[in-house]
Amino acid sequence: MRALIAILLLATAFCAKAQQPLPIFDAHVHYSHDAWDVVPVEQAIALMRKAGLKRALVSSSGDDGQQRLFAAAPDLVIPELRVYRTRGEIGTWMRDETLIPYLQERLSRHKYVGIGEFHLYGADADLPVVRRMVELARKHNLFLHAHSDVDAVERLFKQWPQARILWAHAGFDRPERVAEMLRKHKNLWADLAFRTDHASGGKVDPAWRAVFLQFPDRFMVGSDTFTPERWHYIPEHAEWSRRWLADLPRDVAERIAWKNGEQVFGSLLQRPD
Amino acid sequence: MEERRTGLRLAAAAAGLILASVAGACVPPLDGTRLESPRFVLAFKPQPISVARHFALDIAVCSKSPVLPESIKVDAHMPEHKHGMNYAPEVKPLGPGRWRAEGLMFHMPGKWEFVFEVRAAGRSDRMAHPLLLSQFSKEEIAKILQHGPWPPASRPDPSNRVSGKPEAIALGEKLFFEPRLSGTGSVLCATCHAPFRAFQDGRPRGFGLQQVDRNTPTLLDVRFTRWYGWDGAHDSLWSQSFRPLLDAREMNASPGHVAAVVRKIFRKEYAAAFERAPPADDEEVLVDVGKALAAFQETLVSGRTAFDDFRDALERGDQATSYPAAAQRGLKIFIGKGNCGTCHFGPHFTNGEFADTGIAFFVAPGRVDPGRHGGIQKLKASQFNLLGRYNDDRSKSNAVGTRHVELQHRNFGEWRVPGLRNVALTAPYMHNGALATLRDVVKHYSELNVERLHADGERVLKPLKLTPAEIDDLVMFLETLSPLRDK
Repeated sequence: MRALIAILLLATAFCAKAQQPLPIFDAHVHYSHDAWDVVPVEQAIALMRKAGLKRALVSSSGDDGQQRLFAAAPDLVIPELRVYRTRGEIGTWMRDETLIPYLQERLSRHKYVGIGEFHLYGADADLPVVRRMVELARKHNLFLHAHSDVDAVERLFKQWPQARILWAHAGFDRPERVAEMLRKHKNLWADLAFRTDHASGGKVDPAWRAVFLQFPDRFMVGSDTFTPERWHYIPEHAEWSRRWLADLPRDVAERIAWKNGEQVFGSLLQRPD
Repeated sequence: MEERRTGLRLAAAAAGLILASVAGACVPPLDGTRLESPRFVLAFKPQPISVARHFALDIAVCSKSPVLPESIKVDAHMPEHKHGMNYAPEVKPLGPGRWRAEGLMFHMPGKWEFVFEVRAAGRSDRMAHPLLLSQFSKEEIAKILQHGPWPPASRPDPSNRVSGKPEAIALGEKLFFEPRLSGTGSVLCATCHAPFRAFQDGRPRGFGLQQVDRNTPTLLDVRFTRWYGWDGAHDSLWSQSFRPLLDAREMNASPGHVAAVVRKIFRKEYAAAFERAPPADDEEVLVDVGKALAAFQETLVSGRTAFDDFRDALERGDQATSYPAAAQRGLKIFIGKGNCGTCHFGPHFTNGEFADTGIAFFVAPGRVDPGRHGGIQKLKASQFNLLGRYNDDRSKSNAVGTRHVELQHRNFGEWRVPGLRNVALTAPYMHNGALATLRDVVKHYSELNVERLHADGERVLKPLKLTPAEIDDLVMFLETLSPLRDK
């Protein structure tokens, strides 16, 4: 009788776990200055919890935003330092000498796991300001979160061969090319934010499936809240991610959904300086 | 204006070689435009002419009498502007009966006139030829021609078995103006789609029984649309047409209520249109109401515009035009640096698809309108889409878009690209009526906030950074896309 009860309890626990929605580590969230009033901190956190996010890698144009989120929900928010004080600096930051003191000041005051997301293409990666940013990342042992083409990623690794780079949107590149880069660079991870080419109707594209199975430890999902309205898309995005992830083997799905993010970033905040 | 300078005169060389023949007939040795005076026949052929570019002109003259030309003067001017060129051409002999004039330039578009004076025996024969210099290159003209002809050919909607049927059009018109279809008996389709307001309501956001989230679009030319509603939640005019009947904020009716009204009040008209009595199934009647309403709305095709006349003249090669110069400049921006035609494409000035143009889409604090992202989901879930049983085209060949449309992250906050015909009549603008005037719309694109757009690859949308004069011109062009009032 006791054995039967134990089996029933185990079965119940198993079923309950199976029915729980897959946790999501959202590796591409922005809480920029234009969102602070229209999506207040409490609402932003509520949206992330509603989405079933285990954690979120958050950066802000105007770093105060994410710091407020982090203060309110340190269990949920992992801060990374964005190089934009306003979103208007997307195309100018790499030539802006005043950026470095700003980064230094923020790094002296707060803990981060990375610098980014920054937009950087081609030879711009070798500009002096970028090089100094990379030096700061090296000094503080931080990830680089690069919205970049292959050329810029290569140049960043050339500057700092031990760099760890989260490749935003997997460079919007083809799966074969992404695989080639992951194969070449052991310290390269990719987020799949704002991409839909890898899955449609809950089915994973065959070419992408091969890459996911070959590199199950190197991908993360991300919603990319580049406008304030898109905060309300975080729950929808999490559901969408769960649907296509369900088309992968469970262990691969779990890695991409949250384990990779948790493993790579989750412990970084606790590390000693 | 600048004083015209005297064109150079050149003594005719080898005069004896110039063809002289019997009175009234000679052939100048050049394949070009021919002009004739009492004593001479002149042919000229310019190099391709474009605004503010120097060009040369070949000339040949033959004499219809023994009198030979002694010199030739070449000039050009703008009769309406009372000025000529800024440059004095030089005429050089090329051989017997042939000359070349160099250094000409038309420094502005408009009506020019070539003037040739052939001097002989102490007097001159004057010959003139008009030329309207378009400010548009061949490539630009090709782009302009893509915005016509108008009206385009139309055919009945295969998904609607009563499309184009007079009895259905008559029924649809009655239903369109019938308040008893609404749940309260107080609202009709024309409440929001007012004929005297180009079949919209002039409000930022529509208001039937309550305010809705979006701007009321015009129904003019609605038959040419691929997707209906700002979010494209409907793939047929008929399914879109009964949607407001069921929306509590708009007409607040039920299928049962609509069917009852039809059975009680429009039984005869329904029978004439559909060749049967109203069926017992309320949903079937509701769909047929949508199809009759669609048949009526298909007749709402807007008239020709000043732009259409200009466009057709260009196609004919007719350079004479009364199309305002400011509108032409605006059109040049529209097809050129404005890049507007990328989305506002074709005779309807829309590609029929969806775009994020940086307009905020919060409806209220804490609530967003998901736009196309929600529209695709509604479309796919609808039993009334073209994949369903109410599509009267059994082949379902008209459902390709519905079958293949794919939900993407970028759809969140995308809105249907509206056609621009009648745009001057349909203020305010954008999906939520956020912009009050056409000038506001042009300024929105001129000062576009790229921070609201996702950054990757080459941007289709960039701040146009137009000058105030350019904004005026673009607005002027857009205003010419409304029907001519006297037609």
